[in-house]
Order: sequence, then C-alpha cells, then structure tokens
Amino acid sequence: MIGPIPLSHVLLASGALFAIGVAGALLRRNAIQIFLSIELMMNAANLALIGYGAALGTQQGQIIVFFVIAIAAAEASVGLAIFVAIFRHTETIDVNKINLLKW
Amino acid sequence: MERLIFDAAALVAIVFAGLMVAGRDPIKSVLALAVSFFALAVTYVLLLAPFIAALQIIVYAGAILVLFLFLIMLLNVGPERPDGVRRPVQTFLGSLSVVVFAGLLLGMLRASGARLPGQPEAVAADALPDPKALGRLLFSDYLLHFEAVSVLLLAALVGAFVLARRENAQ
Amino acid sequence: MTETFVSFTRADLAAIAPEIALVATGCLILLLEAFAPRLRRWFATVALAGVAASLWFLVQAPGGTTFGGRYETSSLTVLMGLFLGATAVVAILVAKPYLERTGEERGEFYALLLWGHTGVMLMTRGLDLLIVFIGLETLSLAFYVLAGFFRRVSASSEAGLKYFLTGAFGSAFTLYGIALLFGASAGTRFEDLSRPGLADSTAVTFGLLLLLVGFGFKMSLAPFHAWAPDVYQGMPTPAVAYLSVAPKGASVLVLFRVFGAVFEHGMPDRFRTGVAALAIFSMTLGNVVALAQRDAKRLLAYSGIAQMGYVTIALAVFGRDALAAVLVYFFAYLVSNAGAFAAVSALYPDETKPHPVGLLAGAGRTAPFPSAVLALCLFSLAGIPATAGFIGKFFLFKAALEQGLYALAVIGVLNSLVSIGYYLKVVYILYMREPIEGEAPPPLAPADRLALALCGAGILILGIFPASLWAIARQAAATLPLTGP
Repeated sequence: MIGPIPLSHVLLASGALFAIGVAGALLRRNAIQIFLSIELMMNAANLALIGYGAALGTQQGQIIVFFVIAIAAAEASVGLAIFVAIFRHTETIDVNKINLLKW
Repeated sequence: MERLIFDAAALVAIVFAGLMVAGRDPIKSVLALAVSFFALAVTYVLLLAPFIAALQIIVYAGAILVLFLFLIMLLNVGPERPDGVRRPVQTFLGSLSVVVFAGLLLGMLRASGARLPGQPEAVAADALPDPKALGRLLFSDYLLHFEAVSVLLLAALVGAFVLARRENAQ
Repeated sequence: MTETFVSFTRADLAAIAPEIALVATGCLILLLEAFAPRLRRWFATVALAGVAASLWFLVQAPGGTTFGGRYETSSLTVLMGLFLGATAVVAILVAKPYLERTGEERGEFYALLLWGHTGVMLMTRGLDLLIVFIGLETLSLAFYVLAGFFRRVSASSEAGLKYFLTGAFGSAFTLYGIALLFGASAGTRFEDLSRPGLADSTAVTFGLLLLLVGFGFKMSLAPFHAWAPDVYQGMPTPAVAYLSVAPKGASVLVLFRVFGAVFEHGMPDRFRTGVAALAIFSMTLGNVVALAQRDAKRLLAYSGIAQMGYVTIALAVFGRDALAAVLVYFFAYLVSNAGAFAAVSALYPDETKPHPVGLLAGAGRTAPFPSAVLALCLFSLAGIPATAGFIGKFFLFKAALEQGLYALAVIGVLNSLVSIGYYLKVVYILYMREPIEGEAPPPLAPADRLALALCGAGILILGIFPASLWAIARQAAATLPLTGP
C-alpha cells in the first residue's frame, strides 16, 4: 500500500503502458510514431520506478526518474535531428517511404 | 478517494496511449500522448512525487512533445496512408510477440506486486514530498551520475548540431 | 547554517581522472575545430594523446571503490580499460586517413568517438545500474550520430535512423529491467542486488531477462540483431571498428556483474537453459546467414552476431574461469575484428559506396599488406590455431566442458567449422582471383599501416604466447564475487 493506493494497481498500469508501447514500436511503420511509442515505454518504466520508490519509502525512485527524464530529452533531440537529416536527404516528407528493414 | 482518482488517471493514461498507437495522423498521436503524460503526472502527485510530476509536465509534455509537434509541422508530415502492401506474416508475428509479451508482463507484475521484500504498511515519513531531501540525495549519493549525465547532454547537443546543420555551412 | 553535503574527495577525482581526460580532449578538439580549423590534420594525434592520458590515469588510479561504493578501480577495470583504450586507438588510427579520403575530416567525429568511449568506460567501471544506464546512453547517443555522420550518403542517414530506433527500443527494455530490479532490491547498486531471496523472485528473473534483451540489442545478439548489418553497412568504417568491439565487451561485463550479484549461489538451471538457447540461436543464425553475404561489412556484421553467440556460452557457463575466458576472447576479438574493419577501410577506394567482396579480387597482389592482415584477421575470427581467435575460443569451450555443458561446446565447435567456409571464401577472392581493371585499392596511409601492423602483431603474439594474458585475466576475474571454478 502506498497510502491508500495499492502497489499492484501502479504496476498493472505501468505494465499495460509498457505493453502498448512495445506494440506501437513493433507494429507502426512511421518513424515518428515508433519513437513516440518508445517514449511511452520509458514513461511506463518511470511510473513503475515512482510506485516502487513510494512503496519502499525511498526517494531513490524519483532520483532515477529525474535522470531518465534528462536522458529522454537528450535522446529526443538527437532523434529529431536524425529525422530532419533523413528527410532533408531523401527529399520526401513521407516517413512511410523510408524502408525500415524491421524483421 | 485517492485510490479512485489514481485509477481514473491511470485509465486515462492507458486509453490515450492506446489512441496514440492506433492513430494514423502523427499530430493526433502526439496530442494523445500529451494527454497520457498529463494523466501520468496526476498519478505521480498521488504517489508522493510532486516534483517529478512538475518535471513531467514541463519537460515531457512541455518540451519534448512540443518539439515533436514542431517537427511534424515543419516537415509537413501527413497522416499515414495504407500503402497497399499487406505484410501478413510480419503483422502476425508482431501481434503474437506483443500479446505474449503483454501477458507475461502483466501476469508477472500481478504476481510480484503482493510480495515485495520490506514492503511498508504505510508511507514512511522520509518519503513524504521534500525537494530538499531530493536535492541532497542528488548531490551526495548520485553525484557521479549527475556528472555523467552532463557528458551525455554535451554529446547529445553536439550530435544534434552535427546532424541538423546545413551541408554548405563550411 | 551552511552545511556541505557535496562530498567530492581527492580519491573520487583520481578515480574519474581517466574519464575527465577523455571528455576534456573531446572538448579541446571541438574548440580547435571551431577556432583553428587549419590544425585539422593534428586532431587524430590530439585524440590519441587523450586516450593515452586516460589510460595513464587509469593505471595510476588507486584501487578500491569510490563515490560511496558506486565506482570501481581494480585489476578487472584496468584490464577492461586497456581493452577499450586499444579499440579506441585502432579506431582513431583508421579514422584519420578514412576521413581525409572522404573529405569529411571534422573534429566532431573524434569528439563524439571520445565521449562515446567515456560512456563505455562508465559502463565497465560503474557498480550501479543507473551509472551503467547513463554510460550506455552516452555511448548510444554518440554513435547514433556517428552512424549518420555522412549526411550526403543516403545509406549513412538510414543507418543513423535504424540504429537510433532499435537502440532506443533496446534502451527502454533495459530501463524497465532496471525499474523491476530497483523494486526488488530497493537500490540501484549491484550490492543491493545480492540480498538473500532475490534470486528466486519472479520480478527479479523478469528484470534480468529484460536487461538481457536490452544488452542483447547492444551486443547484436540474435534475435535482437536485425539492425547490425544495415548499420554496419552505412556507418563510417572506423566507427564500426569501435562499435563492433568495445560496447559488446562492456555489455558482457555488465551482465556478468549483475548476474554475479543476483545469483550468488550459482545460476538457476532454467535461466541457464534460456541463456544457452540464446547462445546457440545467435551462433547458428549468424554463421548460416553470413554464408550468403556478398558485402564485406555485412559479412563481418553476421560474423559478429555469431561471435557474440560464442561469448554468450560463457554467460551460460558462468563462473570465474568463464569470465577470464571472456576477457581473453575480447582481446582476441579486438585484434581480429577491429583489424578486419581496418583492412576493409584501407582496401576500398570509394567509402560512400557499398563494399562488395567481389571488389577485393586480386587485392593480394595490388595491396599485399592490407590483404595479408585481412586474411590473418579472418583466420583468427575462424579460430585457426596459432592465431588469437583460436586461443579465445579454446578457453571458452574449455570452460564450458569443465562445467559439464558438453552440448554447448560441441555446437560451438561445429559452428566454428561452418564459419571457416565464408571466411576462407574472402581469402580465396583476395588471392586467387584476377584483379579488376580500374578498381585499385587506395594508397596505404601511414596511420592505416600502423593500425594494421598493430592488429596483425596482436593476433600472432596472442596466438603464440597466450599464457601471460590468461594469467592476468584470471587474476582480474577474481575481483568479481563469482561462484564456481
């Protein structure tokens, strides 16, 4: 229990978000939506970290999330720069035309 | 009451995450994800992490997702059109792996949630919202991490510059 | 009342001096690029000096842990640091003539390489999951950019995109694994993971599996390998020479540390079976698909997937000798694989085009030295006796046999036999075919010559006198609290 909130609810929500993120990353063929799905997976991990931290009575969970947010921001900046570079290159703005060999 | 709000917020986060994944229009996807992140911020407040909730809104929803929106509009990315190519094997394999994975993950989390080692009955006093303690922890136990992240941010900064600057800049 | 809570001691400074040297050198090169671009031809030398300074600081650093038990300096980290530093040296030596030929010599390349190298150092020395994750991300961000460094070349940009998406996907798995392990151990340090009862917990097992998936992506272990051939093909070859060696070694060490902390009393059989299955799948898939490859860099990518399968055998064997075998294996892999990429870089005239193996026809006559080193590297990768690769495989399979994992060792040996097929095919093309008119290899630059000579000498020295490295590796492996022989 975290106050009145049971930890199992937190973990179930986090697991559901992670699974949705994995589904999106695997099934979408649009680079932007794949990356959004990956962001969702990281957020699912953040929710689990904060839930565990609160249940364990430690602030370390929040510290980890603090660093993860910094890393996610850095990753987003590099990722979007890569998207810009490849769009500029292929001279198409249609992300679907980038042939990602996914399987 | 808190439990009810938590469940409602978590449900909103999950539903909008689903909309994000299912939508064909990238702009709608980003907006759905923003709603999902706001709902997550609500759950963070209820889980005694108001500082992270603020960061979630300022950095995730405020900076990262707005950057995405900006990029989509800059590059004028339209909705995804069905390209007419069906990939039945890949879709099947992808869906199968996702279903198996989701089942495993949810089952495992449900099973393990009940028996956490050293799980307290109530919230411990030092876990109450206290940014001061957070800062203290950040600059004592996690000092090395803080320094390491600065290298990461530097690399990301220079990297983004290398990739996005114009070819004729030399 | 002012109270100091930032505790940063002299010992802490000495411990991270190697990393500071690398980061500072990167910054210096970047500033020179901005304000004194005429000094460009000295950038590689500056970068080499930075790596050398970092190694010197690493050897000088007093042993023990710093930053509250979160950072380690020991014979193990020094040995790993030497391995990583040597990889960086080869990559920089190859990069200089390569970038000059392509007209892309810019300071950012060396700076990002050095910062990525810093990330790998953090991975090998950190005793804390979060440090490892930050190091991993630093490495990844730097190399996403290096993969897409040739923005004029479509394949390079695409390599950047593919590496970024798969890399970020893998990182998310790693992060969720860290979250589960944190929930079970209430901390991020490896020593928190050795609390009793954790090894049987479902959440911990699942967290370890997620970590294995995340690092599997970084190691290009099948079935998480799909990015490797495309990325290797499009990425600048010197960056591939580093990426295909150093991060893999660091990832394996991290997995050894985490498993060692959780499984204090030996690895459970169920888990061992899973890891062994991963090893067999990766070896077999890598070797079989490599037989059909026509592009030199793709061939080396699939060969790398197979080689990581062999390394995963050691993870299944799990024990002190297995870790020592992995250390020896990675030194052998460094000289053979980085050497092979160095030779590929020196043998192909146009870097921006694909690298078909057929173009190497007759190179044994037109470019005798790089061809000879390439052949030597391929022999070593195949595990022919008297080369470094043979020694690496010998200790790995020996560790598996001593642990009673006969099937794994036999499958490994059979796979090595299959791999000889495609390695020898390249050697055959090098020496038995007539040279193609007008497709001469570029003139050999002094830096290339040095890198090739170092790798070739390393293969022979390790292959003929392996005893001292084995003794050092065994001693280094003893610093990890692993069970077993």
